[in-house]
Amino acid sequence: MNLNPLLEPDWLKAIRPETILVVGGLLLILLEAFFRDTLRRLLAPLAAVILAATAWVVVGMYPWVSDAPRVFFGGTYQISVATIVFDLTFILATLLVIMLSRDYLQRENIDCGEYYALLLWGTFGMMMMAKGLELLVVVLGLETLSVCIFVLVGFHRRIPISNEASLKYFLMGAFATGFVLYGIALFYGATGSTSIPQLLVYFSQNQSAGPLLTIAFILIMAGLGFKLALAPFHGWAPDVYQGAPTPVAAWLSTAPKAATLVVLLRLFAATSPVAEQTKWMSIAAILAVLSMILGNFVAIAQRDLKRMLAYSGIAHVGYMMLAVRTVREDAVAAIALYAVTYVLMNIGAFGVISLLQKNQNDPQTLDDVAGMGFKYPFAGIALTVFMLSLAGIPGTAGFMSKFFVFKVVIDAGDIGLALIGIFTSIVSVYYYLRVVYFLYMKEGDELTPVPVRGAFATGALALAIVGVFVVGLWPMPVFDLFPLAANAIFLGH
Amino acid sequence: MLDKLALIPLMPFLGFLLNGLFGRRLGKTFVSIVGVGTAFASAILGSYATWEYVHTFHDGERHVDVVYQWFLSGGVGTDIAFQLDPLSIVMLMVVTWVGSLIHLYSVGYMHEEDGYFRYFSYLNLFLAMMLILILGSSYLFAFVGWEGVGLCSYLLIGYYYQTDFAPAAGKKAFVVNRIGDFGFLLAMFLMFMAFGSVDFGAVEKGAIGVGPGALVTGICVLMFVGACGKSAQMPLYVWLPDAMAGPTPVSALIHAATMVTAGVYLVVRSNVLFRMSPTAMAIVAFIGALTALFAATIGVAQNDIKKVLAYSTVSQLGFMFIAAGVGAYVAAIFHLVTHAFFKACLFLGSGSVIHAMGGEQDIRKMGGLRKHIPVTHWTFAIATFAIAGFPLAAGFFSKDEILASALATPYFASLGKVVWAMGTVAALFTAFYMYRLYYLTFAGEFRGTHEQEHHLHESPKTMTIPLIVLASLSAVGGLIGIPHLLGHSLHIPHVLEHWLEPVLTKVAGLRDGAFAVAEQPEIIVMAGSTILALAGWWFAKSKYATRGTAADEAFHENMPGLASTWENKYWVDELYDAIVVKPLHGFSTICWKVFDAIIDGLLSLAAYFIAALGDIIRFFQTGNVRNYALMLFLGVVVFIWVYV
Repeated sequence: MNLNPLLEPDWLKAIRPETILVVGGLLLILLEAFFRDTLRRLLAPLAAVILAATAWVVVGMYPWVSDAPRVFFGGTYQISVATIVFDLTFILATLLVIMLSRDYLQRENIDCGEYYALLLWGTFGMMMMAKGLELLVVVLGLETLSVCIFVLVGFHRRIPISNEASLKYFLMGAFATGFVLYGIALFYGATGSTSIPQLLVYFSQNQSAGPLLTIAFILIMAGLGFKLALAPFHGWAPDVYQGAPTPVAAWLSTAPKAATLVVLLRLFAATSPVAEQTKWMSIAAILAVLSMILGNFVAIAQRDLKRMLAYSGIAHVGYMMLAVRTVREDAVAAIALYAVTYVLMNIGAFGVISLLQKNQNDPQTLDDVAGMGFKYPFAGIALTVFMLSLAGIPGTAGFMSKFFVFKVVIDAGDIGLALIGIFTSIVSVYYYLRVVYFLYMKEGDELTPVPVRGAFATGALALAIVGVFVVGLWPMPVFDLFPLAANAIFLGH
Repeated sequence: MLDKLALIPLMPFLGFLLNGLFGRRLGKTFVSIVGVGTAFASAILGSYATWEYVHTFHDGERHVDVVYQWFLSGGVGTDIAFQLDPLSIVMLMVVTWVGSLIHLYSVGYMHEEDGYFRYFSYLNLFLAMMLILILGSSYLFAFVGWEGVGLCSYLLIGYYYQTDFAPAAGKKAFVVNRIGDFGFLLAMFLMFMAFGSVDFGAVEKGAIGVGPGALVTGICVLMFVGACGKSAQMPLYVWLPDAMAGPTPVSALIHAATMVTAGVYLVVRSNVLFRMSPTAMAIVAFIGALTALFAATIGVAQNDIKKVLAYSTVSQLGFMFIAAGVGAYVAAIFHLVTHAFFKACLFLGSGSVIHAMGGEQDIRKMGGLRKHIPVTHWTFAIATFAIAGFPLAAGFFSKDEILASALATPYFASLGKVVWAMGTVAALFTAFYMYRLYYLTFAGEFRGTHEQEHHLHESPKTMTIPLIVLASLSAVGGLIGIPHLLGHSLHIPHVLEHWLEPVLTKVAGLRDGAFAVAEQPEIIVMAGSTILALAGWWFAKSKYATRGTAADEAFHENMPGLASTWENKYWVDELYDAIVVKPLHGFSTICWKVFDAIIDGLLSLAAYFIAALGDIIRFFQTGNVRNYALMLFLGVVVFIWVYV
């Protein structure tokens, strides 16, 4: 007996992970409100347990969708093998950040339940973005995520730089969301639908797109490009990363970008029938090239590590963008591998920096890590591993991910773009290895800060290090999850 | 076990991780147990795998155990795979068991050192890398091990980093090896271009398909450049004598028994390719002979106990390359095995002597140690007996087989005779310098200080047990390769030859990887070797047994030119310094003084521009939200303007 034709029989099962995250977040806030003193130390472990349960449920869905993806809520919500992999990537990112945050928050004296709740709800938003087949569902996810980020960035209520970062991100984010919504509205006006499969049908049948649609596409690109920190929409990133609590910056710089790239993959696939005629993909190429060049070259000039990582992140999104715009089936697996890799190495790098900081006001520059490698061997080795991986040295995950992304780009025939990517990524080796150089070959002064020591943070870093090597030496399992046929369905053609 | 070959190198790798991460905190007992335990564990696992292999494969097939596919993308893919075949098994047995004994010895030898955990973690890592090198199923994977052992060698040579010379020696080893590695890499690129794969089996098939020609010769010569670096052949041998700056067990393990023989292994592994190219073989044989003779003469005039053994190692490696070059691959591996036994024993014995002498390495200050350290003396005497090539000892059979093969090689008759002559002279020198070393160290009167004499003592059990085991192997190890001349009438087969036969793939149109030596040359060589060994021994005994260093002084007086040439190692280091290092340095200085000024100027100019650019970017990167919003808006406007 199904009274509502919009609700498929298994709809409750389909949103089980999302339900756990949302209810879990509420639970954390309630516990915090009523048992503030007794349960305070348990908040982070509890959040980690909630995430683990979510991961368990997500993995449990695999047999359910391994043959074919399932669609829910009237064709607006898709669950497939690919979304499972991306869900797990988001969960991994949030888990690492929660483990890193606990010791950090206690040191900064801002250890509150809502912090973890916001992280969980943000993860919920990302899942919605990655699964939405309807642009309005995507926007809902995006906004859920953004609201969480606004609060998290400003979590240091008493530190002006943090407040400033939050306000900047809020204002710019509102501006960018406006662009996205306007773009969606124009899409609807021109095609009569905001559903991605419907858009694909429209473009396949009409084989043309007028100026109105081009404007719509550019507006959406700009809005999502802002979230990705693609040049020239990147301006906020260095300021916000610098001001946000460091674990938040780690989270903000990785997982949301992966979610946004999934949306772009789907959107590009929907518009691919008219790609020849409209040259929309060249817009993506221009953004990618600008990002790779600007990100890598400006990063050389940065001495503050968090700002350097902000620019390096701009460049990494540029590489990924090159693969996304090919709209090939094998790009999905390459992006998924890159997303996992980027989560591991970038959160790891931010994590080490958060350990070495005295407090949030203290800028963490190259000089501050001078000689740290010998004083704090574990932190030194960890940062070295993450830098090598970011630079793409063979044996690490960074190498494998870049290899597959550039391979997709070359197979698509974009040799020139691939060469720009490879060349700029060689440039990046300079500023990544400079950090290693400072770690081991420079004498530090005696005033270097004492790192935080905590089982949670150490565990997170160890997990990330192991992950970097596992993905670097054994990447094929990720690919085995992505049969090309399944990706075709994921992309909707 | 055959499907878990990865466990063999994994054991010492675990030891490396444990000792490297926790060794400092958990103390020496923990480090010793983990370090030695993992080495023996890999030896036992390796032996078990061998036992299973023998019971599974009866024709010496190549068993490949693919652990997993590293990556595959389009046509490009690489497996992480280990292989077991008769050649790998021989290497495996030598590396794990001799390696384990040297690990055990290190417990006693290094006990007083500060960085004990550091030493054992490096040594474990070395063993793991060496096992990857010999068990890897492709040139690429072997290269991973090849580079890994190079790194460990560098780290262990520079172990005493507080001294001036040890880090410099490590650096020298690293740089010289880099030249060789470059050759190896180029060889791999060629293989990949020509055959589309670097798997051992695929390359062999591909080469047979292509047939002899410039391509195969090019691959072989480039590969031999790599082998020259790692196995210290001319002109790249200069790093090995300096490498003695490392701890003595390291010299025994890495710079005598295992790593330096990797080049020989590589050539034998690629024997099909080499057999296609007599040119490459001739180069290998000649370089080997030249090195054998050259290093043996230098060994005569050295006074540091480890330096003598170092030049001896270079010389003996030359013998192995003679064998590989004349196409006697079994003889090359045979000598590799026996050399691992007696040279490891000699190095460990020298370590025991140095231990007893409180760090003294100059043999002019030793003498008469026979009665003070009897176990060391006897084991050293047996190993000397073996290397000098006295009948029935290990070195006799293997060296004899090499020289006989050189004389009878079917590949190049006249060059074979030249190589044989050079090798024979080198063998004479070998017997002489080894007995000079033996008599100066153990016979006569003690020439050191009174304090040193008081301090003399036999080494602990952990050190003497490996010595005794290795000495026994030096005595009887030759029995795995009884020559046909003797074995035929006694009905004892040449065990090693039968064992290695499957590795020497038979190819139509190519000579077999093994050839029979006629009786006549074999008798000549055998008799000749015995006489030479006796002559060398008698000459050394008459000069050094009782009179100590007086003979050296006489040699210096009578033939000052030759003596100083040998003592200064033909001034090769000075020569390299003059023709390679100094010019490079000069060039660098010119670049520094002249070009730097230009480049600096350009850079300042560029910096000026970047600063200007920075100002422009800063105009946007104001930290002011309005500007960011403006940028977002302008970006959109520009795109719409261009695209609509």
